[in-house]
Amino acid sequence: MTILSKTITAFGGILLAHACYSAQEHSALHSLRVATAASLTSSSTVANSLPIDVVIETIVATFIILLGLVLGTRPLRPIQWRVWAGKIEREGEDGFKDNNGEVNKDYMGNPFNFIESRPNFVDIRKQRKEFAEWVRTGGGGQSTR
Amino acid sequence: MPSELELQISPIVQESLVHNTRTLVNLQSLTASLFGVSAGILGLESYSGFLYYLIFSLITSALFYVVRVAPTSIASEKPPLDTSRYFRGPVEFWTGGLMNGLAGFILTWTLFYGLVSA
Amino acid sequence: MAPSLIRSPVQLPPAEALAISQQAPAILQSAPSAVSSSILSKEKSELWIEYENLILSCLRTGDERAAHQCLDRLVTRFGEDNERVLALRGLIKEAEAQNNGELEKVLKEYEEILSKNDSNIPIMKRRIALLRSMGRVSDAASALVQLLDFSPTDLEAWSELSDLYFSQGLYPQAIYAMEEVLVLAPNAWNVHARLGELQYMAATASGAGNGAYQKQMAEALKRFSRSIELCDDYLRGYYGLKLVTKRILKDSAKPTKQTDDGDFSLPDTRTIERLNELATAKLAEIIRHSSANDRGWRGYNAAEVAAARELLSEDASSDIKR
Repeated sequence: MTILSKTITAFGGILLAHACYSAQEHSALHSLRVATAASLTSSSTVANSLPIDVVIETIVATFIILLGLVLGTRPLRPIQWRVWAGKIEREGEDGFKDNNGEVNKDYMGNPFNFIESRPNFVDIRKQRKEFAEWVRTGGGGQSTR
Repeated sequence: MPSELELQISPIVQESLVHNTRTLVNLQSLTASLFGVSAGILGLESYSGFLYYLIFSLITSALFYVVRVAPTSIASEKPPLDTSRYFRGPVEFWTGGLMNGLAGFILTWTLFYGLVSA
Repeated sequence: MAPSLIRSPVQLPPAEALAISQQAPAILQSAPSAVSSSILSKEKSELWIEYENLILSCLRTGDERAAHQCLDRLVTRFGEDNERVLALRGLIKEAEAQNNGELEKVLKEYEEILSKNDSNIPIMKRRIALLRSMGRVSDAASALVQLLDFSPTDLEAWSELSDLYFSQGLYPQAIYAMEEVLVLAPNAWNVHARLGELQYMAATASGAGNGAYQKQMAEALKRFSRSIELCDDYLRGYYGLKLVTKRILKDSAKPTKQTDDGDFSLPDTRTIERLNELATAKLAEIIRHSSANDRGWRGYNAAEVAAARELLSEDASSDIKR
């Protein structure tokens, strides 16, 4: 996703740079022509309008970059509490990935989980016993992932 | 605007709101500079330049709506062009970025106008 | 894929805890052993949380060496007498203790630390947990009440108190402590569900027929409903709602005298039936999506889904019998 957005933006950037260069050359050429024309005749009112292809290129390039930038924005998060909470419960990590498919740094599941898991009050001896029990009853065999 | 009681019953997640607004503001200030570049290349002057900015800003919002808001918002049975799943109000979404990006727009507009027509 | 290390590993099933602790050597190797505290060095604040969680997982799986390594790194960063480092050191000692004598020694150490600095909350919590682990529940409860006097906004401590009372069968006290949590975190949907569960258990323990039963059932119904209101598709909330409405409907089938208790009377049967239907439909939907492993429905705990399926099939079979 991000690669797509970056390629589009880069392509648009090249187009825009080219259009910029063309416009600059055109205006330089034009002012030269005006200068020479002014030395021959005294009429200096030659319209300075860009060629239509440069105009089109500029606008197309703008659109392409715009598309690339919009595609590169981060996914939004629901603001209503119940929708947001439901998303956490229903989708888990899947719902909070950025464009690269990595889980957001600040995603922490249900932020109120600690109230029930109580990490600072953990009874480590009981946990060890339970784990040993689990290993003994053959749980260790299937954990080769 | 929802009343106090409604907010108590169905609260708003502030972190998400900040995240969404920041995403939108980032996009808008970036694209405003981009519009300045292209307006400068096109050699637009006075009102036509500002009109150009206005039109393209609205296009940005629309594109952002289509890409980021619409897929999930429509899926959750919201009417089209409704941004209430991710933003507080429609005004904030559609025109909030105009003032944010204006300074950047004028900066790059004058810069590229000067560069091209020098 | 092993679960993220940033989140607390306390509630993970054994297999995942093992997966985390197996990562320990790799993490210890990839991270620098000493991080300078200057502004220029790129210090990830998550790293320290990762170390703490790694210690918890490693101790659980019996990998004390890795736990000590993690602790050493925390010591080099935060110093020997940082409150959390002290608590983690105590935790490792607890885990390594072979007999009661050694546990008593650890407890002594905690008390020594507390006599020097009686506002060391992590150590206070460890002391309470150790007391509870050693079976001295009443000591643990009084220490916990003391801690809450000292810091009444500690959610974790209120919840621990609730759990402590619950393990003793003191439902009203457990419910009170959980309500206190809710005052501090009114939008925590899991706390609402937990409170619903407590009310339900209190009601079923006291037995049907009396006024308290009705009141507690009504409370449980409200709590579960609120947890669903705060969180769409909340499996636990719907499970509880289903359980409560089923029970109420069963009770009302056999004639018991309705004792109207003002605020806490149950809603009428029609509403409860509709709530029951809603919960059934929602649970069925969640089970269907979750077992099909649909995109966007993968966050549910497999054990919870299995329990919900059992509840529904039980329900279906009792319907057929009727």
